[in-house]
Amino acid sequence: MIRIALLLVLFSCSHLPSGARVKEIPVANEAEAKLVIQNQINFLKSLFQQTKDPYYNVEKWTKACLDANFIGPLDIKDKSISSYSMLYLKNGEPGHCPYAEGTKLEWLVYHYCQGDKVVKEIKLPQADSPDFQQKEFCL
Amino acid sequence: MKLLLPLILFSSLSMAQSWKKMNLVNGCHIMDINGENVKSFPGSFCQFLDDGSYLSADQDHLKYFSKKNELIWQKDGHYHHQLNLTHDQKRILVLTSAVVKNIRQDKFQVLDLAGNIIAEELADTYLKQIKEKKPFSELELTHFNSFYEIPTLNEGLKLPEYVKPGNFILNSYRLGYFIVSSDLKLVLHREKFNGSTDHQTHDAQILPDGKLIYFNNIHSESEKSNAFSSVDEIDLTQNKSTVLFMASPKQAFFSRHCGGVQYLDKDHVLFSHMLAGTYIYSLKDQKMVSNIYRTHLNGHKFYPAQQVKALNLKKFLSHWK
Repeated sequence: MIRIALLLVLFSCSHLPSGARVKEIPVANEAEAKLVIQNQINFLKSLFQQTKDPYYNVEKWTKACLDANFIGPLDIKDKSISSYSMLYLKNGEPGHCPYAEGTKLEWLVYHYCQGDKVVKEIKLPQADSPDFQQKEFCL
Repeated sequence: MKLLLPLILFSSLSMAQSWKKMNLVNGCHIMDINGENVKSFPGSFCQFLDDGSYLSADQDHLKYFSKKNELIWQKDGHYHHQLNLTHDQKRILVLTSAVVKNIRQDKFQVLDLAGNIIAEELADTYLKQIKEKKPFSELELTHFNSFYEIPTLNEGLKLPEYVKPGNFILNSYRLGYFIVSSDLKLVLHREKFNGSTDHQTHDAQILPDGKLIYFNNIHSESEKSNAFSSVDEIDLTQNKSTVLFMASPKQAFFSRHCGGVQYLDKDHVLFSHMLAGTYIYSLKDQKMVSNIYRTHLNGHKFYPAQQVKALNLKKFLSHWK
């Protein structure tokens, strides 16, 4: 039984490319998982909300920057809930533009498998896995 | 005694350097002391609490989020210039707006962390108390830009009665600073900034040692077309003004709007220019220790900064790893 469990863990982990950084957010159930992921989506949307400075009316975000940062919608499937965003991260943090120093285009994914007690936050350079969104993580 | 001396020396050195471990905050962007980005949050003005929750304000809303990014409460309104906390971190000091008889004026609010309004007052009330009739402009009756609580003061200081912990200091462009009562109802004292042209100042705060520091956008010695800014201080125990920082030549440092000031320790002052960046200045050596331009970068372009502050956010950030 332990060997089967170990194999399952190894199999699920092997779905993630080697450069992936994973953080686990504890959740009690599927409803909470959905809330957690939606909150993260709302956070990203608010981060890139356009404003203008009150002195010179200059927009905070250029169109190019907003176009370059994609925030994925909440995607509810039979066995999973997820959101796949592709963003320019700096030191692993969103809220940056492509031409800024030290930024990298990365996947920022929130993923929950039915029955799990965690939402996974996954960060991964886009170049390392261009088709990351196509992978299936839930067994 | 032999054992104590190295310990005292070590403690002094540790405390003297402690500001180097602080974070710089411009709006809702948290950086390290060198201006390297640590984490960004939504909004124009934020305050970050030790339990990992945070407040975020902009021109449309004031929001309070948990450490899990859950929206706890939201208030609609126009929030501007600053969002501060009382020194116990239990109340929120808010600069917002009201439109009365088709003209905008400032409204001041003290909220608890549940979002309840504990105290509130319109700027018009203060103008009546000081018998000021001239509006700030055609569009605005008043233009206040900072709102701080007076902290616990050092013992033995001979200060005016109105300089009392729990009262508030409000700064108004062109009208000077106001000390108001803790319920926001009464102007206890209003003073103009004689060292500033037309009292064009920002970020006035009273410190535990009884000093009032502020950013002086247009120093009174400025020529009309060749103005300069300075960082000034008034010792309220003696009513004596001092310039903490002035560039050489003076006109090399001019911030037409905005500006923040803060003592990091007895020797170092941090101040921020509207566009050029953030500076750390040694009063003893009278030289710039640090010139941090990254605090003002948004993407690859410079963006106006109302003020940059150094805060100890170690506890807050521990919830956001």
